[in-house]
Amino acid sequence: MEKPMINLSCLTSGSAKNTIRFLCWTFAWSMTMVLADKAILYEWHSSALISAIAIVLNAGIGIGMILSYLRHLKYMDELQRKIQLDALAIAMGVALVGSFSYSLMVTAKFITDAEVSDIILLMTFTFVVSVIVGHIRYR
Amino acid sequence: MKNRLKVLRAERDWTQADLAERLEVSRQTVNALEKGKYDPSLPLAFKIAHVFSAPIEAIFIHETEGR
Repeated sequence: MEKPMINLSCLTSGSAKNTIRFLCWTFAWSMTMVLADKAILYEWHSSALISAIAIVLNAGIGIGMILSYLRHLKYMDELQRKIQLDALAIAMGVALVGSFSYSLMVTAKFITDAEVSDIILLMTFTFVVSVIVGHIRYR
Repeated sequence: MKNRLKVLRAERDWTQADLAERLEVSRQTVNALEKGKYDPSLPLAFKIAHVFSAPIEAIFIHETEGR
């Protein structure tokens, strides 16, 4: 049996490293988001400058998260990318339709306490479920 | 689209992981290809042909041609 030309162990460890890096960025972004939100909401400080710094820091980490996701995608093979693309399309569609339905429910006063985070949660949940279903489908 | 991946792999006594390593894809992708759940892109099809030293049409059979 001839030896493989390319050692996949580098690719696998690179992919695993990028996955961990992406999860770290996502965690950091979520934490700065929660902290900035609670600090502003419960008035932990009175300085507008600190609030502005917290918002800019959160946005900066958010950009880092997006870039690390793109890097994470680069290390995937074409089937894994297809699973991600399908999941993103479903999550995007659900978020679009869901946000308009949600908006209508607010207008109709079925919902009084509307939060943007509800749509983000729905989108995240749909994305995660779609990725899992995609992996099961091509197992 | 049908393919002869499993047969060609068995002829060489390769595992799915061996083939995945040669193609630089995951084992899941090789499994999905063999089961016909996923059709490869043209570059991957060429890579598969190269790995098995066979023309693409000897590996992949379009369903209408196979009938």
